Amino acid sequence: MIHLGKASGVKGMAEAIDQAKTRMQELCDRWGPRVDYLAIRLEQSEGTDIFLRGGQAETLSEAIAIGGHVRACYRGGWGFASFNDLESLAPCVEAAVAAARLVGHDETLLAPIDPVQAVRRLPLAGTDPRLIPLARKKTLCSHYADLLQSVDNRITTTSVRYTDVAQRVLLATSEGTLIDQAWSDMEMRFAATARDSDTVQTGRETTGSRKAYEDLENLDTQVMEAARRAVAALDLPSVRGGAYDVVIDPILTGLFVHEAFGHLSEADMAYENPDLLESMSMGRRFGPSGLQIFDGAAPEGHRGSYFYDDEGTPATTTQLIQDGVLVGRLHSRETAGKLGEQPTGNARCLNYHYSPLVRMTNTWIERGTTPVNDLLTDIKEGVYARNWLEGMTNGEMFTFTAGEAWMIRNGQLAEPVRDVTLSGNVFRTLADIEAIGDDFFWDESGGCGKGGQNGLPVGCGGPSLRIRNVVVGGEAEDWDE
Amino acid sequence: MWSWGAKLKTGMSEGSVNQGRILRNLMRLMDVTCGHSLYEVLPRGVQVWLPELSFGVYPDLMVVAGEPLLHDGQSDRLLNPCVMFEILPDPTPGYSVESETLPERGGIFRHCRTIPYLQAYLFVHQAEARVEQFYRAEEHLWGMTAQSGLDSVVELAITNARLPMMDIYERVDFRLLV
Repeated sequence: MIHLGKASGVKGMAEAIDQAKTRMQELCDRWGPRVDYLAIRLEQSEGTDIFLRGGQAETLSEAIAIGGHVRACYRGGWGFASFNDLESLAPCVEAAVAAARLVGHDETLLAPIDPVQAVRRLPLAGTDPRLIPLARKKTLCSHYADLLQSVDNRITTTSVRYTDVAQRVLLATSEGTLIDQAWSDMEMRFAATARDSDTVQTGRETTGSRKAYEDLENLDTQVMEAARRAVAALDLPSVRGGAYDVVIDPILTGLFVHEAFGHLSEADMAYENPDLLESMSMGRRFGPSGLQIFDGAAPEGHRGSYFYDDEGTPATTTQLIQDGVLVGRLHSRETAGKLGEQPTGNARCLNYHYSPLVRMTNTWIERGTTPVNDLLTDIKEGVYARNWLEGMTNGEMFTFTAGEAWMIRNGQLAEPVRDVTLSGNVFRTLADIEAIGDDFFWDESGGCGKGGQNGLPVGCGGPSLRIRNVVVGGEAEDWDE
Repeated sequence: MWSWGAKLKTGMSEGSVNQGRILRNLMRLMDVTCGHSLYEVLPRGVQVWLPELSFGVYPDLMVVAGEPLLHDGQSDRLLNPCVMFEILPDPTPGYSVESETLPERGGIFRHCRTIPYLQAYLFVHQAEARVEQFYRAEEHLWGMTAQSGLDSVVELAITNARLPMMDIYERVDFRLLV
């Protein structure tokens, strides 16, 4: 990765990328006939990273970078080479082609797509973060850090992270595709830890945007809520562990649909795991007839929105569950080719260091018909959980820690409780969805991790859900264990 | 087996012969696999400090990427392990696909998840050949993999280390009571 002086560097890089376009096409034309598929992906990025712990800056940086990778496929074998110096482009193409020819002994199965020549920019609805000086971004972070600290004198630690990145990606392939697309992505994370003697509690908030720097301003109420939750939880009783009927808010629904279900819909996971492929059989019923689940980069304005994926496949919207039945999964060209299905535009890479994997984009459960206020009705003793602090997954199994929670008694919200963890098996939990609320919220805070490519922006959305018989863990752990 | 910093400032905790064997094997494997790169392997006895909680813990084995970061410059308060190993002291229920939930692995692991540098945390059973790895998929999201049996291999989520179970459990006698 090349780090340049910002003003001259950005201009120089833009010119270098423009010149590289022609070169990329020439190399694809020249080397393409020696393999079944050749793709060159060139990336320019410009970003900011600020991290304040306890109000003190631990990270304050701006960086610009250029780099790329080459992927070649020959008789089913892949060659890959990455570079951060445009002079290395031609040798990298040669290396990737040679590697593919060395390992390819089978058949290349890539689902066909139409070649595309396009220049696209994800539209901003407000100010481009690149136009905001670093000092103003730092001031915003300090403001939020002060707010977190000001909530209560039992707040012992605060952290505020700000990141933005503007990416421009060029993709040229041996099939004639030449795409030039760009977007900006922003994210802020806030956390406060409160301590009272041996009791420690944390509150968090995260937000993100692909639309405007202004989306990160005026978050005072949301930020203070994180600290307020941490302090309030100090004095709360732990929930009594057991199986409860549970109502979760749209943020937890979004986490659930992404982490617990969405990853199982990624066809590379299923293709490599015959048991999972069988579990994820098309036509299998997973949930109630009102359950609709989608993933797609085509809806505009979310963290996982784009025009073309990193193989040049146009963004789509894929219905995964229709009326409770599995009807779709997410594909790269290779997984679609191998499974005889249509590519869905879900091949994404974090940056030029990596090959694209099948990744989610914006994943959501469609709003239902139950008035959200009626979701608690008829629950004699249950739990209402909002937001989340932490999660763990292992294939079908998940455990999520709620950000805050209340008991439900006789259909009404009752006393608040803490240490609420929701655990279960995704298939069983989908089947146990009893009611789908008529509310809906897009959580734009998502970063997704897979195969070492962590922090990929995604959107998650959904309504509130009522789920029966969820295993709820609680009981704070003894510090002296 | 772990030790709380507040309770045990110096010295080692007591351990079984099998625990000692597993620890020796892990130290040997990790040092050969990644001890000569940018990673440094540190054995039991080095305190990991949790500043938000104001206490320290002593992992059985850990890996540090790059130079050790020290809390307030204190040489016995390390801040930046990227991999930690915990050898479970007793026969502990393992994860099973038939299980309703993920295994309960709270305790010190719960608190160590606040370490921003931590990428992987491994539980090594000593009553059976079984290793559970929790790896950081996102800042607050952890994935979990489990290996059972002497023919499998543990692939660490960081460092590229591959640890054959046969080597982790070399000379471990599962007939011994723990």
